[in-house]
Amino acid sequence: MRHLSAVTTITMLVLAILVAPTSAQQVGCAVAQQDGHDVVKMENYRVQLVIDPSRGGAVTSYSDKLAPTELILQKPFSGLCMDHFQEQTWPGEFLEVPYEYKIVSQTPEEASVMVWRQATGIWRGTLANPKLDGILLEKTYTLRADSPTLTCAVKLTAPEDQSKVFSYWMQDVMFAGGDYDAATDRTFRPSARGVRSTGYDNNGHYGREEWMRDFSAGWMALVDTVKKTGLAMDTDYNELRINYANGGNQTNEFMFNTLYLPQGSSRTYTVRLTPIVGLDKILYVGPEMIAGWHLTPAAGGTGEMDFQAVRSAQAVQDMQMAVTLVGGADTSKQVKVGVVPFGALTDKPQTQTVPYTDAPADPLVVRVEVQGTEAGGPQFAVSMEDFFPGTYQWADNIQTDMRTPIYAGVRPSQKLSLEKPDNLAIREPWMERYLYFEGLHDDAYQVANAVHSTNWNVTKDIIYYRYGGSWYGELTDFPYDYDKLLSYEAIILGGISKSGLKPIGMEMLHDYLLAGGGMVVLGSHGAYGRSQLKGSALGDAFPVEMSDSVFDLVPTGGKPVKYGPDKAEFLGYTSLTPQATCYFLHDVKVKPGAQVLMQVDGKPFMVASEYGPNKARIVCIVGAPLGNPQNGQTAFWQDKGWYLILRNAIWWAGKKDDHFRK
Amino acid sequence: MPRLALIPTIALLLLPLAQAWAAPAWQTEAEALPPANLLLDTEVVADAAASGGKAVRIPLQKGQPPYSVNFSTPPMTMQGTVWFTFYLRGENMSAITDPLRITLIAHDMQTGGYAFMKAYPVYGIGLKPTGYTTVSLPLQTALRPEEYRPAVLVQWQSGTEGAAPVAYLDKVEIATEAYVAPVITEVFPDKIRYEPGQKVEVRTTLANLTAAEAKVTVVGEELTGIAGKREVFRQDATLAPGEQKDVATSYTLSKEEYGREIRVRLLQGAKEVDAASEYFHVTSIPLWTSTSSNYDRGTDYRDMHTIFYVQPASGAESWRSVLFFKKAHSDRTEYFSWSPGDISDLSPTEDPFPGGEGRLTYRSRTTIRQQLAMLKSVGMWPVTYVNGTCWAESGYKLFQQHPDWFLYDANGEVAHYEMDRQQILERRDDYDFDPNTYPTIFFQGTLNHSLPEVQQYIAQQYIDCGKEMGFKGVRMDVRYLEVYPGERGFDGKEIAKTYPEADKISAASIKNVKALVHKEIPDFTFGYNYAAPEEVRDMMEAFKERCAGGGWMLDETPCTYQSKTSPYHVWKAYVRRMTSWGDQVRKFGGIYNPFDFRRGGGKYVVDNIYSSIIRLIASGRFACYTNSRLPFGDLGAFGTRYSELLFGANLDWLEEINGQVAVKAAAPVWWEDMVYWNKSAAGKRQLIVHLLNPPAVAEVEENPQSNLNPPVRDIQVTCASVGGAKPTAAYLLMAEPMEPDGQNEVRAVKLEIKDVGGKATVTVPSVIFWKMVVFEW
Repeated sequence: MRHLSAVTTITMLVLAILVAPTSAQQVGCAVAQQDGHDVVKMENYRVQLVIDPSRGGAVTSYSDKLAPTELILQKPFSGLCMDHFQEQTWPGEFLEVPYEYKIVSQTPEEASVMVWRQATGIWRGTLANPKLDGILLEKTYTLRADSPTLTCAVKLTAPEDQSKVFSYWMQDVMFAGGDYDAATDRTFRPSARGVRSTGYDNNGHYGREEWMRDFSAGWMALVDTVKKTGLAMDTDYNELRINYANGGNQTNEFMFNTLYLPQGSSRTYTVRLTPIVGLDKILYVGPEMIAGWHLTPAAGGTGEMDFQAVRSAQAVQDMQMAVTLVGGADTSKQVKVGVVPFGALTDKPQTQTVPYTDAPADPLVVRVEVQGTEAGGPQFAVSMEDFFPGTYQWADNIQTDMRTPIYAGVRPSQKLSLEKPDNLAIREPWMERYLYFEGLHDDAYQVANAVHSTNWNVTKDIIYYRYGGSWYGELTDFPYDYDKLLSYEAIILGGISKSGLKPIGMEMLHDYLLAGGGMVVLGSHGAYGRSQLKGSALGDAFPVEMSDSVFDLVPTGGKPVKYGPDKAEFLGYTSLTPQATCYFLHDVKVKPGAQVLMQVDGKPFMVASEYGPNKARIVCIVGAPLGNPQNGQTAFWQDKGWYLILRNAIWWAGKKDDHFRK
Repeated sequence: MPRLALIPTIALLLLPLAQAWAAPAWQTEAEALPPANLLLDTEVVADAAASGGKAVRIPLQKGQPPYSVNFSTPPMTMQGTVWFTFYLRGENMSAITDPLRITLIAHDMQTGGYAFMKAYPVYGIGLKPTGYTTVSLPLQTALRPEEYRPAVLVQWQSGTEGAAPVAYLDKVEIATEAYVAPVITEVFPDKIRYEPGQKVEVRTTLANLTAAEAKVTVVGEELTGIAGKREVFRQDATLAPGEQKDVATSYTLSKEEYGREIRVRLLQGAKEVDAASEYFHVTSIPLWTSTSSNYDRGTDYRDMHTIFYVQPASGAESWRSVLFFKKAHSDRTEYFSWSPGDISDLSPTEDPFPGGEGRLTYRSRTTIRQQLAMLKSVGMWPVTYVNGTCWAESGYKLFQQHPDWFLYDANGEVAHYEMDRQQILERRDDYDFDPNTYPTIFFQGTLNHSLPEVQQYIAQQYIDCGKEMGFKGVRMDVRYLEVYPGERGFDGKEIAKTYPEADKISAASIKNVKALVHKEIPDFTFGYNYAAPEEVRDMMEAFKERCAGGGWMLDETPCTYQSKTSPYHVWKAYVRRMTSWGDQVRKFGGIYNPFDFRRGGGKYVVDNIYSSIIRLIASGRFACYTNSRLPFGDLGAFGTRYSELLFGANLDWLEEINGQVAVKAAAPVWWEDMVYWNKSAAGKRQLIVHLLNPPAVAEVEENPQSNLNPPVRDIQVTCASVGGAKPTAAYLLMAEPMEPDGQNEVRAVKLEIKDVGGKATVTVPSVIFWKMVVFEW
């Protein structure tokens, strides 16, 4: 068993008594001088800290009264709640620079301090990131008399006359336990593979896992596992992009999703920082609690688990943990261990043990469902999960091929909340402007020739699609800036998938159509069924209904491309040769009202329709530039007339009807 | 081994018969060296153990220049092997790491440049614990006498944290050779590997550096098995004074397989005045005994292999590398990652072409074909690495033409593609194009190996790379013609729903491709990655088919076993993992090729030594860690000479010891997981017991000082009777010396069998790292 030792427990108790009663002590907040400049000191029954406006408005001193030691190295670039943008090279323009400050509220129960600074987008003397220029960053620290948690709310506001695009990054550089140990200071981060514990040293084959992308909840904690002290932080999971820990255990940093901010609008990220005492293996961090656990197996599927819980931001009057053990290698094998009751959570760790029998063989997954009641009555429920690899000290959630996890849980999907312009409408740039998303083999389409032929001077943007690895689709860029997106005459959408667009991209492209933008959708390896856009607002706007299957390419046997039953003005004066052949077609159904402009063997090849309140024009090319031409055949994408047909489709989609009416 | 390559560890040198010591041509007390030649913190100190009571103290100190001692001597006449002798003692020196590196130089008198240069590390294990040790190091110079200016550089080669070694130098001597009879300068069998029954042509190069004409007889003796010996040629020659001459001889091999030593004796009348040897492989299955020596860390070395597939190379450079690897007893060369697109482009027609699997490292088709011809001319077997997926432009084009030939995942996707990189690649023919702007390959897809047309396509690629490029085989990585459950064809249907089904399809695919290729190139060889037990447990039929007929089976997973998450980072567990699996691969007909820790070797010297020894014991074929200055011997030469006892097809590993053999020693010695039955080529039953002095630290990469256990002495090995019969002979085979300060030598020594309690018992005097006992009936 790995209970807290008796000495430790007694020490905790004494300390708890020394700092109690918790709510009787007022929160302190005062301006002081430090090294010739103003700082703000905050303190309550549990923590004391210093906010230094001259150093990026960061928390430059932090101590937990239950484990009194300075967590922050007293040197530049160390501190909590340090601001950075992912678009900028570190250290960026916010670290170690002066902020404005003010105490915005101060009562016996709660104090708030705000620091702020306006971004310039300037890096090394030049305006490297114009989309950051003018963003107002306001950071408000709140400390309550009755809570150990420091809340840091970072509000980012676009100027009244400009929209902005940014990816915020909060950096916390501190020493758990007040000193640094490469092996025993550990960062705990929830992931689909269990709660990962990483240090600079003593990691398994996954290494330090600095850039954790498969995080499964919005928290992380840095703990001195010898002293059992540290700091936990949590935020909104839906806003996160990466849980980053430099060196595995030297920093704990939340990297947030890329966000578009319309003119004058704001987004606020809230991060809670809560001290930890008495826990050395973290299972969960949230506003309800911080939980820890151990598992000590005996023989024959028996053993004992202990769970610890301490209070976090909210006061909890009671809760219970329903514990299930699951086979790590075979999740069908499960045993319900029982329900572990806890009383009111305090700063002192409350430990409950529970024996188990009939457990599956190691490795195991522990699943805990928590139900509880906050002080004052509101109910809450949270889930937590971790992986137990076995008692061998170096065991890990990895198979002996040293590549594949033994167990991989499910990451909850993240929910979006985009900021949008009030008026979704296509801008009217003076020069034609096209955006092309290029997927696999779309280069065969002669899109360049088609766009070059649209006008003598056009602005062309291209975004490439990548596919592979653990992250599936990826785009080299995306116009997260609505102002830019809405300035395109037409978008040529090659074979890119929803995993590349991600929910933000899909929603913004659909907004583009709602605004009346034009779109030419190319058939190819990655298009239609394989794009998995069916069921999304974007995919459902197309004039064809896509297959449910990602395997929607059907061989034609090599058939010529001919005009369809419906006529289109933009196809006048253009034609393919009779040898133009299509070898593969996407399996689609033409929606009512859509026009089949070209076809292959009676099946749709080019389909067009209008969509939405602003009559967005969409052309779908349902053939794919794949196949091996035989004697006497010309692949349709290589036919001499092809690029003009495509050019005219782009014109039509972009509502440049005057071009083909000349 | 050519005699001239033998490098004694200390000065107890046996004079070669044809040579004589001259008196030292130059000598000095170290304290007499000019102070300006003593650098960093090197200084003259009082030392009662030194001659004259003074010595030069050389502590470890890093700085610039990095040398602690740097001196030259007056010009002197040098000839043949020149011996530089240093009287040294050490303090705090590690046994086998952090050596003192001594560089010997003979400056050209005309140009001032290096005429000859050689560097040697001196380790603590080569020095006596007390007093001074004479350390003699050879520098090969020209055979004919000429004047040079010698020089010596001394520096520490220390990387271990906390190491603080100190060396003391008492005096230095330089002596050159004098020749009293003709000598052999090289024994050169024309090939490194032969098939049984083939003709061997041996070129013996003689030099007569005496002042008189010499009539000599060259006698060739072939050594086989443990103790087999026969005379295979005898030829007279006459050498004028100062003459060098090649004596060409030949003989026909018997039908027996495995390692050979050709020993050439040089007789003047009835007296043997010189002798030299070389080893080679004799196998009917190509690569069956393919082990060799890696670069010798016991002297200076440089990369000799990347010119085969990475850097541009002249014909002369290529030939020099060919001879280098032949000398290291390597019969296998692998061209790694050279082609523009691997399985979709194994015989490129462009010249030059964008090599490195399309990474835009431009390669010459002409040069590669020329190199392959060179390698084959000395019996080497060049194989091509094949990433078993379609990469880069050729794969991209193939996919466009035949998307129905490819495998898809559940998302309907192929392995990976990056269209931004494809656009960069489009500009590759521009003069000012920078290949560094194209860091990764833009397309990768896997063919659907279940399709007969795909199998035919792949077979044709292999045939073309054999016939057009000149490769003798392939080694597949990433994919090896298999399919897995969950992989789908173009129609989205799973090719195999279960592992048994996938296993069956994969085995058939492998078998068919092999058969298609062998129709055109009967001796074309196949090799495969993913030969670890963890990787094949669900695909055993395919694994057997891959092994069958001499498949080169790369077990790569051990490159991760130093990881603390691996149960095999504990040496004891590692031994059994390797020996048990090597036995399995061999019994399936495969050639076991286990990777080293971290691919290139473990962190510390001791990890590399033990890893090589254990993998050899496990029938592993690979380039063995080599350091001629350390007493574990030339493992590559040993593996070549005694390949039958390490790789023989008749070997049978004993999973459990049930009284067949017992080992007793005062100190721990490992042997239980390293015992084999064998039937020799001569038809004799053998019991092979490997004796390993265990690593001093139980876990891999936990011994930064590379500390060693003392030699295990007086080890009693007892062998039970078989069918009532006791063994009739016993041998001790080794590459290492009997004592740590002895001389490395590949050899077999007959052991006296004693009857102890009714059982045949032999006593092994000592094991420093590894020795092998063979009982024979």
